[in-house]
Amino acid sequence: MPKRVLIVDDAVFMRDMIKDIFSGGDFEIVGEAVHGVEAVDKYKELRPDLVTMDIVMPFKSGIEATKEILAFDEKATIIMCSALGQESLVMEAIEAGAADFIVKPFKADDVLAVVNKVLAARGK
Amino acid sequence: MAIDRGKYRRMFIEEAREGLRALGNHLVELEKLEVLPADGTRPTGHASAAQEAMDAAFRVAHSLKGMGAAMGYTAFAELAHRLEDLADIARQGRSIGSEGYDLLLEGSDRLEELVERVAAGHEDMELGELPGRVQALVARLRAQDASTVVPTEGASLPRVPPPPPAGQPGLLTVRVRIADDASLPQVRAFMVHKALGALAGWRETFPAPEALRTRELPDRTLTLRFDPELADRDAVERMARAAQGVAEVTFGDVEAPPPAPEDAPAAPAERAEADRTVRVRTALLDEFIDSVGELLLARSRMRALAGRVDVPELFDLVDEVDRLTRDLHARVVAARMTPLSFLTERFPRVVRDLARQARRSVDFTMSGMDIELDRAILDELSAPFLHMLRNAIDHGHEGDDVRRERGKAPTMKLAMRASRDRDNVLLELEDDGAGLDPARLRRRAVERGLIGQAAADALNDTQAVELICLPGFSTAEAVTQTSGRGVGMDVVKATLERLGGVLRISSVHGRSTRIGLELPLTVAIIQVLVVEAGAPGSGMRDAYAIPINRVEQAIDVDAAAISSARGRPWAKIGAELVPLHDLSGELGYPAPGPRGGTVLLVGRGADTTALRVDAIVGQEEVVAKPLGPPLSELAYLAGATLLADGRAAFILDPLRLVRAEVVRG
Repeated sequence: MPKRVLIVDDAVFMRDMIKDIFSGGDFEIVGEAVHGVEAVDKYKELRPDLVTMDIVMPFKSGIEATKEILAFDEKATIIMCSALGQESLVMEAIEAGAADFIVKPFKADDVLAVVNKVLAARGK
Repeated sequence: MAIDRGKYRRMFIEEAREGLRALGNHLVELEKLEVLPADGTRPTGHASAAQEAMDAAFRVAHSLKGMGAAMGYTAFAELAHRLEDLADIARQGRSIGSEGYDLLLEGSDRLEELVERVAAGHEDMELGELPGRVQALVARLRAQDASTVVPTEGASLPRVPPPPPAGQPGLLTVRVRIADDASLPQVRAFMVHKALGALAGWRETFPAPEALRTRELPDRTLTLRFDPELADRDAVERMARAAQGVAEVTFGDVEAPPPAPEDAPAAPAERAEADRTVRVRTALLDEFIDSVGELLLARSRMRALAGRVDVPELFDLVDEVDRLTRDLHARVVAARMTPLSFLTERFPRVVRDLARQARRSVDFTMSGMDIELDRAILDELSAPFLHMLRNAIDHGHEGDDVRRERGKAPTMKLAMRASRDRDNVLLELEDDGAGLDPARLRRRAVERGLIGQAAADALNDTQAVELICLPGFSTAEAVTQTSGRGVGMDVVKATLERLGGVLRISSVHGRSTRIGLELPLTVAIIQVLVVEAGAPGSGMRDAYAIPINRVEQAIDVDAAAISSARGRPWAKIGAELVPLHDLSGELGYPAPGPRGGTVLLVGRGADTTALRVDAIVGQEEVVAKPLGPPLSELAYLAGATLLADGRAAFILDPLRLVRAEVVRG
């Protein structure tokens, strides 16, 4: 069964790029969210296997959305999409229970390596 | 997976255009809300609207950075990154000033140009120094943000983990090295800590997880210690190796020798230096200075006391305390010293922009910028210097064509120089522009009602040039885009004098202008001459402190050397006649007419003035405390201090005291 993925990013450019990267593996993009509020709603609705979560977004940041999703489902697998210089924020997300992180600009191989390792470790 | 560049390029262009339009709108909105007026203050209203607009500007810049980086447009991404940093500072409620606002607008314009270049089929990008300018401002704003990096002697932050406390020998040490190609190594290390720290027997992690948020990971290596009785070595190793981005896991114990030199590879000198620094709040340094100041006062009182007690050892002890206090003072002051370049590195660009805007050619040079000044002084100098640079370009420069007509090179030379003279720094800004016209300055000052005609006529050309420092004086015929920022030469002068400095302006009409700022290297503790005013035993006799650097000489003058001319007394000093003032008279103590006695010579050259005092008590080192209103309104009061004998005394600026009458005109 392909892994069901929710992509959260306010830039359509980034969402498409992540979609393209996942098209190289056994994944199904089940939803997209453009800000933190939508991310929480869509997670509850779709229950994806994996969430890629941007950090800087309007209305609700990726950090807050991550915390809310994990409060709702502590087994949620969330991978933070970080830029250089956001170390402290990523650590906050990891502390809250995010599974791992990937760094922009994304390299397809690196992203897939992280995602596959995380999913394997979680038995998904 | 290969990325379809054509598709992403179209998306990049579309989304970047949209983002930049939004960014432009947010910035215009901010301008309308006037959240960033020239003086850097924020009005209380509109706060949430402004906050929202700045948040949005930050997000747009952040997205643009990500897209640019993904497309490999490194220049674009770099500029977006700098703008993001700047907007980040602003959205945290910190003023970025008009300069920051201008940079955001300029940067946003430049990004638009770049997007259109990409749309037109170009890939190459050239940004010049704009990202650097934004970065410099960001660095400056962050540095002002209440902390300064202070080098410390010795290793206050050890590079190797400290040994375990006594009585806990033989802890199991695990070193986990993060792979060289792993991104955000601190975060990787943090994750390793999170995984391993939860295992049985875990005792400590080095660096501490909190430190990883703000500091780099030395040698990309995280060290953890476990109680060997409790820890499952295999589990530790398995967990460590399971973590993403881990290159190597090694076991050792605390008795093992510290890492061999080859583990800390070549050229770590700079890094080691950086590791031996701690961040200290600027306010804390100020408190240190205050404490040292109090200590100096206590020492002076002790010395005075020792003079009244016949205990020879006490003198030795006071000498020892004296030496130690001076050492301490010097070290605390050294911790605040910052090179001038911290302030001036952006000036070449500022001059270039101002010159371009005024359509004038300027050749700007700087020298001596490695000289270090007290940070407190440096922070105050930014606005005055920007004003002086603007003045030189807007008013000093005649215009390229006019210069050519007058037989000058069309390009104006503008030089900024710094040099040290004992405890002073001399900062000079010199141009070979139009110079100042004393006749015109006199006329203007009278027209504006700043001084009377008689007073204007009495001014020699050197003094007339200084009229530009009077509040309300401006020769600007037209307000340029850069002027009208609320700083004039009067503010420059006041700032300088508040810092204990002196402003010297000289100019040759038609040829050149030279503005000299003579500044003490440090503030707060100054050498003063303590004098007294008022008749002895009259109950009206007080001590005053006069900064030593304001006094050229102290000499005795015979009554015979005093004469009267042009309605005022003069003293013959050597071969010169200089105006004679009486401190008591100036300050309103009952004073008989002109008389001989001890006089201080203040001012230099044609400005030399003799100030008669009733007594000189001695020389002291004092801590200058600023005055609050209304006393701060009196220009001749430079501050207040406590003297060694416990008396409070005003610190006088003798030049302002004796010149007050010029302005009273």
